[in-house]
Amino acid sequence: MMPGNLFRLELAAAFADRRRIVLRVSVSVLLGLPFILVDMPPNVKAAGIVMVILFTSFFGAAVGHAKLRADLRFDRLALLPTRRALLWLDLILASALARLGPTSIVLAGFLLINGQSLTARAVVVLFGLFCSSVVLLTLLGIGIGRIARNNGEVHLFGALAAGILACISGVTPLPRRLSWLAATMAWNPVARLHAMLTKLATGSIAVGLTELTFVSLMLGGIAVIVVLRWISGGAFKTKGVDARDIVVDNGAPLEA
Amino acid sequence: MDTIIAENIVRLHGTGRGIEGMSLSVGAGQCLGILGANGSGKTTLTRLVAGLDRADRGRLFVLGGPAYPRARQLRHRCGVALDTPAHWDSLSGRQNLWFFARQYGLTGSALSRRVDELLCQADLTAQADDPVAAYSFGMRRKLSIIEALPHDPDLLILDEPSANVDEAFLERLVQWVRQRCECGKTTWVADNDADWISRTATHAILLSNGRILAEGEVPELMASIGARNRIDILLEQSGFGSRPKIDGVEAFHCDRNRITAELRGSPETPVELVRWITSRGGRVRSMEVRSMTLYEALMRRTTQQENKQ
Repeated sequence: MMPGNLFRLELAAAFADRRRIVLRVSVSVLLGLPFILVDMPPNVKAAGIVMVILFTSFFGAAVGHAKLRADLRFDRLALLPTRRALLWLDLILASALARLGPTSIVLAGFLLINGQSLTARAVVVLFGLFCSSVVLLTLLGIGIGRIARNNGEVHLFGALAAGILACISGVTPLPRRLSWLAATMAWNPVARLHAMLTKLATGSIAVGLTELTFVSLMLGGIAVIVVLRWISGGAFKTKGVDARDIVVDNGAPLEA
Repeated sequence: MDTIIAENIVRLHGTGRGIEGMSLSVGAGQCLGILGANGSGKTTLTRLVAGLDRADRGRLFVLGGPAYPRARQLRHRCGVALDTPAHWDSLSGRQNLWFFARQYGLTGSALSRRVDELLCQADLTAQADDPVAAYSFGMRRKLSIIEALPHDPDLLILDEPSANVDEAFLERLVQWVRQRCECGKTTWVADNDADWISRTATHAILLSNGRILAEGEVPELMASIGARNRIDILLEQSGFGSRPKIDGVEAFHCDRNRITAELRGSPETPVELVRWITSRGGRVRSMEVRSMTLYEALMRRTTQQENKQ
């Protein structure tokens, strides 16, 4: 694939290294497997799956961005005449898409075991919440990667932020003093995802039309942006250029 | 109007080192070579000119606009190769170059053609589709340099381009820079290789501790050293302190068992100097006579200026 923009470049880099792909998928699956196979309370099962998504998306994005800065690739991007907003958008979308694969395998495994009550509506809402959670967690992860000065700081800040995120998303019980944060959960896709997975594990799930419409629009929006960024990357493959057509500085064709 | 104008710029790091009150200007069609020891401020100054850092004080303009933050249109007219090559290592050299060329506005067959042309000129065609992770450091440096060139920028900024790069590519780079100068384009080169800078640059500055120690036009500096040579002699014993009175021997300096001097005039002068040393009981272990470099010409100018003051 010829990367005509940062979105394609990051995606191509993420999928070029087979070892990295295997590691990403296997680590996510190994982390998620106990919560899929072992019998445990529904809310614990759901919390486990959400934590796998949180760690993979959030930490992956944070560490990836810290590396981008540390090896000076980010400096090179800053020198390009590309709009800053597009650079950030491409970084977030590509990073989220690269992490969507491994986590979706874990989610699929969870649905296979616990998805008896799943309806078509519920699938759309679940997938929408899952995608928006991964994008949001990637955005936050990149934010942490931007603040941290090195890999050590990323892990320190990342662990702290992951704990806070788990807490405000209802994955862990919220302390009474912070109960006012419960109001934010309605707009927090991670909290909504956790609630939905819990319902799914208990076997009772009902999705309202408003929720379906809202999540569908959100999902559609993300899909449109992804497709547009992909298309803006230009030609997928390099067009063959006849070596005789290439002229070097001294005016001689390349073959000469 | 000058391409780069710096007025009393200051940029200090936490250690207190950096750039301390520097003013300079680089005109269109010029190539400025920046020389200096490690830690003299070459990379700090280059990062300021590239638009990666903001000066703490002073004013810095590049291509008619503020150097930092740099407008998108101005970034489009610049090409920068930093001292550390940074690539997406799992992708091939062609993919990396393609990305940069596309960002500078090349599309379609012009993009393919330019990518192939640059890879060929950097002698990377055979490895173009290998992952960059498999490249040697020198190959990465070459790739990094050609990634700054696809759009033939009005201002090309190169930091340490000669480090670990083969002679053939360096010679090609000299030709590119000369062609750029003829077309009225500006080049900024920070490097430690004074010989390469003397072949490439039209103007040169010597940095020391974040200040300009000496500056001048390269042809004039090279003419000032004329037929001068430099001799380095290593003696068997130390403590050889007396100075010769031989025509053509200047700046004689003896540090323990190491003698350095500037020579001009007759080719016999080195022989006369060695004869003088042996007549004073000195035993020569090794000696080297070579042409003076641009770096030494700049140092010489510094000494002359200090003597005048």
